[in-house]
Amino acid sequence: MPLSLRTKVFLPLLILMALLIGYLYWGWMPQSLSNIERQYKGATERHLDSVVEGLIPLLLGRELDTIYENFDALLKKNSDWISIRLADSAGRTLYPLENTPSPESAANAQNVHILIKQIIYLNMNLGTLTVEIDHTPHLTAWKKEFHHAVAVMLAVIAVTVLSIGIVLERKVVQPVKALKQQAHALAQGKFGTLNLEAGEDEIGRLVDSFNTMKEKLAMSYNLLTQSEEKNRAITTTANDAIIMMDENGHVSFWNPAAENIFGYTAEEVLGKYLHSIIVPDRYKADYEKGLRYFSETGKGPVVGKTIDMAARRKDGAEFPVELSLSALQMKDKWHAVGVVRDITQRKLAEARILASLEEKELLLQEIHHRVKNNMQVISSMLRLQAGAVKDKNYITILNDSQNRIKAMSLIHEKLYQSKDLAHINFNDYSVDLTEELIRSYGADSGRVTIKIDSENIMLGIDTAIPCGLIINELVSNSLKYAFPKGRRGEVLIFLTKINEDEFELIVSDNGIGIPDDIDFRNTESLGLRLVTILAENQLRGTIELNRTAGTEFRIRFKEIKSEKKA
Amino acid sequence: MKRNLILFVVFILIFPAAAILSIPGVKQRSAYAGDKVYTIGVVPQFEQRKLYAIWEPIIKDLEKRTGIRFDLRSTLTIEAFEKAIERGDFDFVYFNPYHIVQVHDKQGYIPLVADKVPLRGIIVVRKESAIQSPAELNGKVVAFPSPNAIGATLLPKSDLGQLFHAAVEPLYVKTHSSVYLHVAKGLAEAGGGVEKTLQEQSEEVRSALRIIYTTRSFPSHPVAAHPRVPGDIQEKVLKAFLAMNDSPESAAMLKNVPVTRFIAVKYEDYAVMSSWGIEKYWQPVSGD
Repeated sequence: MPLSLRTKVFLPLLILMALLIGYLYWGWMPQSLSNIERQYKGATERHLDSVVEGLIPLLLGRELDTIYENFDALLKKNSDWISIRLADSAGRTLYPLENTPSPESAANAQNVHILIKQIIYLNMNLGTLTVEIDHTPHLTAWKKEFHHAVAVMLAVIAVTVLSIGIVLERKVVQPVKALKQQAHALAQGKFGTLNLEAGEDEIGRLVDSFNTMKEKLAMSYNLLTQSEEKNRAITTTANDAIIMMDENGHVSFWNPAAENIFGYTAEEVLGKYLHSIIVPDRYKADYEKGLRYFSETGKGPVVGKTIDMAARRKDGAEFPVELSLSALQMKDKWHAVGVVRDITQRKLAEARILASLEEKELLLQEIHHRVKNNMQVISSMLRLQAGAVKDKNYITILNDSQNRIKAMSLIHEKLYQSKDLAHINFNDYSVDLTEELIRSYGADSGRVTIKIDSENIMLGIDTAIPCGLIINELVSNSLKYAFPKGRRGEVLIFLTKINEDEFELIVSDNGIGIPDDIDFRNTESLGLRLVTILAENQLRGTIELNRTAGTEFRIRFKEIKSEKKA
Repeated sequence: MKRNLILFVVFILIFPAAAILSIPGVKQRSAYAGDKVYTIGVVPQFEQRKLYAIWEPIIKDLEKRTGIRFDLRSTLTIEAFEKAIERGDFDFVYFNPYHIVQVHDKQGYIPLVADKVPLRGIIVVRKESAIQSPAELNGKVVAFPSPNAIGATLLPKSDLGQLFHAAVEPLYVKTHSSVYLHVAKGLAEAGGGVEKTLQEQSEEVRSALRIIYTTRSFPSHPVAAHPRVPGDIQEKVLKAFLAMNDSPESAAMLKNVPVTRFIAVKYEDYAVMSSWGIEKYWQPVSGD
C-alpha cells in the first residue's frame, strides 16, 4: 500500500518517540534508579562510617545518653532510616531502649537494606551498629522526579513532533498537494490555473521551478497545439496520402487523402497490418523482408527515396503511385512515414509524351535521311558535272564542293543513325570522313596515314558541321599539298576537351608545310579562308597555325547550343 | 563631577567611623557598663552543644539584666571542671553543691542563688530487677555519673557503704541520663542519680526503672561568685537571677538547666554537708 508523505514523515518520528519512551521507561530509568540506589547506599555507608567514628569516644566514655540523643536525632533527621540497633561486644543491645526484633526480619521488604558496621577501636571490638534503611521513599521521590522529567521530555518531544508536523504540513505537504493538483491539471492540459505562491525555502524554489516549468510547458503546449493544428491542416488538406506505420507494420496514421486514394477510412485501417491492405500480393514477400530490416535498423532500399510503384485500392484495383518514404525514431522504435501520390494521370501523360517523342524521332530521322540523300544527289550531280568539265581547275572546284557536301551529308547520315538524333560520335564521323577524302583524292593509304583520336566526344549538329568542314578542308589540303612527289607522312586529327565546355581540335601533318609567305587569313585559297571563317565566325573560337614541323592548326571552341526555333 | 565629589566626601566621613565601630569592644562599651568581662563556668552536666544551647540564652538574659559582660565557659569533663574551680578559673560558677564545700578553703566561692527544690540522691534498678534493697547491691556494678557528684555518687556511695555495708563496683558513665540508660539496658545492676534528673528522663526511661533508695535532701546546684568579684557585681547578678523567676521567658530558659525557681542561698546552707562523712568518697582531681 503506498504511504502518504505525511505518514512517511510521521511514522519514523512516532517510532522514534515510542523507542525513546521505551528506552526511557525500561532502560534509562531503571538503570538510573539502580545507580542512584547504589550511590545512595554508598553515601549511607560513608555516613555510617562517620557515625561509627563518632560512636567510638562515646562508647569508650560510656556516654549512652549522648548516643541515644544522636541516634534519636539521626532517626528523626533520616526519615528513611527504619531503625538503629547498637550492641556492645557482648551482643547486648545498647540502643534502642526497647528490645525490638532483629532488623533482619524486615529486610525481606523491597528496597529495605540492612547495613551492619563493626565498631573497632585499636583492635578492640566495641560493638556492632546495625541500621535498617528503607530506600523506598528516596527511590519513590527519584521515580517521581524521573517520571516528571520523562513526562516533560515526552511533552517537549510531542510538542516538537507536533511543531515539525505543522511545519511539514504547511511547508511541505500542502505545497506538495497543491503541486500534485496542478500537475494533475497539467496532465489534463489545463494550463490556466493560477501560479502557486513560492516561498524562500527549498519547497518554495520547487514551487517556483514548477511555475516556470508550467509556463514553459504551456508555451510549448501552445506551440505544439499550433504545430499539431498546422500538421493536421496539412495532412488533412494534402492531396497526397500520408501514412504512418509502426515498427510492426501497423498503420498508425491515415490522412483523408489516403482515404480518397485507397478507399479505406482511417477507422478501417488504423492498427491494421499495412502491407496486407495496400500492397499487391506479388510484392508482399519483398515488403516483409524489408520491414524486418527496417524495424531493426530504420534503413531500407527505399527509405529516403522517392519511387514509383504499384499499390492496391480497397476494390482490389492496382494503380501506380509515387512513394516518398522516410524513417523516424520514437521511443527507440522505428516508424515509417510514406507520402503516396496517385500518379495514374501522370503515367498516362508520360506514355502519351513518349509516344509523341518516338513519332518525332522517326520524323527527324527521316528528315536527316532525306537531307543526306538530297546531298548525296547533289554530290553525285557535282561528280557528274566534274566528269563533263575539261578544265582541271573547275574539276578541282567541283571535287572540293563535292567533298564539302559529302562532309555535311555524312553528318546527317551519322545523325539519323545516332540514338538521340541530335549528337554524333565525332571520332566515328572523322574516320568515315577521312576515308572518304583519301578515296576522293586517290591518296595512297600506305604512303600517307591518318590518325584520329577524339575520345569518343559527342557533338551536336551545330558544332559538328563546322568541325567536319574544317577537317574536310585541312585534310584535303594535306592530302593535296603536304606530301608531294611520293613523300610519306601522316595526318593527325585530335579533338580533346580541355575544360568543362571548351574543346581543342588539332589537325596537323608532317608534310612540307605551308610556305611562310602565305597568310592563312588572307590567302586566295578558299579552303583556308573557309577554315578561318568556320573557326572564328561559325564556332566563335580561335585558330592558330604552327609551322614548326609541317603544318599544325589548333582551333579552340565551345560547343554551340542549339537555339529553339520559334 | 560635582556628584562624584560629594560621594568622595561622604566616603571619607563614613570610612573612619565604620573603622572605629568595627573595633571589638567599642560597640559593647556603649551597651555595657564596664570593660570587665566576667567568666562564668558551668559544670558539664550535658554534652557541650546541649550545655551551650541551654546556658547561652540565660547568659544573654543575664547580661541584659545586669549590663555586665559574661564569658560562658565549660570543660569537656567534670574532672577538668573540678581542676578549674580548684584553680579559681571562673569569676562565677554553676557547679556541684559539694564542690563549694570542697574548694571553700582554697577559693572561697560565695553561693548566690540555687534552685529552691532541694536535691535528693537516689539509687535505681531496672523495674524487673530482683533487687529490692541497696544491701543487695554488694559486689554489683553500679553506674554513677562521675566520682564526685554529690547527689548521684557521693551520697549514695556513702549510704551504701555506711548504712547498708554494700561495697559496689562503680561504673562512671559521665551523666545522669547515661546512668539511667545503663541501668535500663542492663549494663549496670543499679545506678546513682537524683530525683530531679530522673524526672527529666523520658517516660520510656522512667518506666523502665525503679527507685530502691532515696538519700537525705541537700541544697541544689548553686550559682556562686568568686570572692574577687566586686560585691556590687555579685549583688547585680544575684538580683538578676532572682528577677528571672518573674519572667516567663527567663523561667522557661531556667527550666532547661533544670531550675524550678531561684532562691538566694548562703554558704552555710552547703556547709552542713561537710559533716556527712562523705569526704572519704571524694576523689581529689589529680594533676593540674
